[in-house]
Formats: sequence, structure tokens, C-alpha cells
Amino acid sequence: MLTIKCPWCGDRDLTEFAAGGEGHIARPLEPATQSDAEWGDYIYTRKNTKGIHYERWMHAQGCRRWFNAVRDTVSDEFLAFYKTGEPAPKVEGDGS
Amino acid sequence: MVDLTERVSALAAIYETGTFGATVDGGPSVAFSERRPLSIVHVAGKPDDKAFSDGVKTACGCDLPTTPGDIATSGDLSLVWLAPERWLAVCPNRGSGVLEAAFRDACGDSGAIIDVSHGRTVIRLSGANARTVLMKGAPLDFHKKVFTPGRAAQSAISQCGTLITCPAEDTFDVYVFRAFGQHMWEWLTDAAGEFGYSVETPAT
Ligand SMILES: [Zn+2]
Repeated sequence: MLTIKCPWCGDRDLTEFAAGGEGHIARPLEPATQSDAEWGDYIYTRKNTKGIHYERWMHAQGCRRWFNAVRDTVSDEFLAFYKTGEPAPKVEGDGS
Repeated sequence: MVDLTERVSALAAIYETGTFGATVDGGPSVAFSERRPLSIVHVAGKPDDKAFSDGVKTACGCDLPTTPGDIATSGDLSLVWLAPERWLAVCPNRGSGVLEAAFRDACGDSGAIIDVSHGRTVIRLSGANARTVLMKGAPLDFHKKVFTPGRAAQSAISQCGTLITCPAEDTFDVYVFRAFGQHMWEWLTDAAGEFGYSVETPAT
């Protein structure tokens, strides 16, 4: 059973969480000035990382807060959890 | 003339007191009851906003619990931590809108206060095997030293979002949206069948 650590509630079962995909993607501040290509890139383009991945999660059946996690997409091992707004922690093996 | 404001339990159609399930030496080891009628108010605000935290204290008599999963109490009222900046105040029914008004008067615009008394079904389980029944349903750490009196957690039982509180030793309250009340009652009593269980008269 995979355990995820909500920054507020602590260790909880995976089934309580919803995955939100790649993290640290900032919404363009002036959407109206974006070209279709730029907006499409914001909406759709993702890294599809093999290895260390910075991503968003939501504690859907607990406190319902979004937060960030670092996960190795090869081993499915979680390496760090941190609150939205906090800087991404550096983890060993991160080549990005 | 039907009084549309009369509160009817979501469990009214299936609630039956008595002893059910397996016949076990020593008798049933889980007791069920519906907690009603209750006043339940959802409270949201910034705990570091003094107008809000003071208002809550004025309205219900206890300080905001800010440690995740903690429950503060004042007399017959419990204030349960649900999420950052969100709490649930619960007490025996004080009359229509009375608890909500107390929070609104005391907090003013500093908090978002919603009366959800009609929107929740609260099922109490107690006894030696109450903890075991919950373990079958929710993926929480129910160890006696972890989920102790004064603690609460939101999780899911049978895919229904639930708030589970531990008000006293071997006593647990399961909160669900009213529409899930009957399903949750049937799920929990079914899970308790192997231990033998009793259903007591509803009480607050
Ligand atoms: Zn949480």
C-alpha cells in the first residue's frame, strides 16, 4: 500500500489522494497576450519525466488541500512532500 | 398542514433498536446510535486573524484547535479541525439557526459560517469492537495510541467522504452527508454483524 504524506494531515493512504500532474507550471499572468502556440504549450506540454518528477497532489478525501511532491517515476518512490508556495527541495539524483 | 421545517432523520425508515448480528459469548461488542438532534456549523477563517479567532472563542467558548485532527471542547460543544482554516462546531441542538447566529454575530465578516445541521448524518459506534469495524472501512491508522480521544480525521468509508471523531475511549462518531446516511448505516452495521451489535435509541 502506497503512503503519501499530506503536509497537514501526515501519512495517509494513496486512495485518499488525487494526482494533479506536473507541478510548478505558472499560469501566464496575461492570457490575452499569449499566442495560440504559447497558450497550448501552457495547457498541454509536459515533461513526461523518467526519474525525478516534481508534481501536484490533492488530499481529496482528507483536508482537500493541494500540495507538491517529488516522486521517482521509475520506482514510484516518493522523495519529498512540501506545501504549495514553498520552494522545491533538491533531491539526490535530480538531473533537471 | 405538513411542517416542512420539521427535522426528519435520514435513518428514520430503517432505524430499529434491539440486538442484531451474530450471537457471541458476552453479548454484542458494538453499540450503534444516531446522534440527533444536533446543531452543526461549518466555520472557515484565518486563524491568525484576531477578529476571527476571538469571535470563535466568544461564540463557542474554546480556542480554535490549529493542530491537524485536534478537537477542542467547551461544555457540550466540540470544535473539530477539518482542514487548514476550516472547522466544524457540533453540539446538541440549540434551536434553528441559533449556533450559526452566535458565530456570525461574534465573527462578523472575518469568517464564513454555514449551518449544516440538516445536511449531516452522525452515527455513533462504541464498544470493544467499534475500532475494528472502522478499520474495515477507512484507511486510517486506528491504533489505540494514535487515534485517541480528542482526535479526528476525514477519510472515506465505502467511497463516501466521512469525518470520524473519537470523543471518548472506544467511542467514535462517523459524519457523512445526509444523502449517504442510510448507506453508511447499512455498511457499518453489516461490518459489525460478526461481533453482534445493538442499536440504541438516538441521543445527542
Ligand atoms: Zn490533508
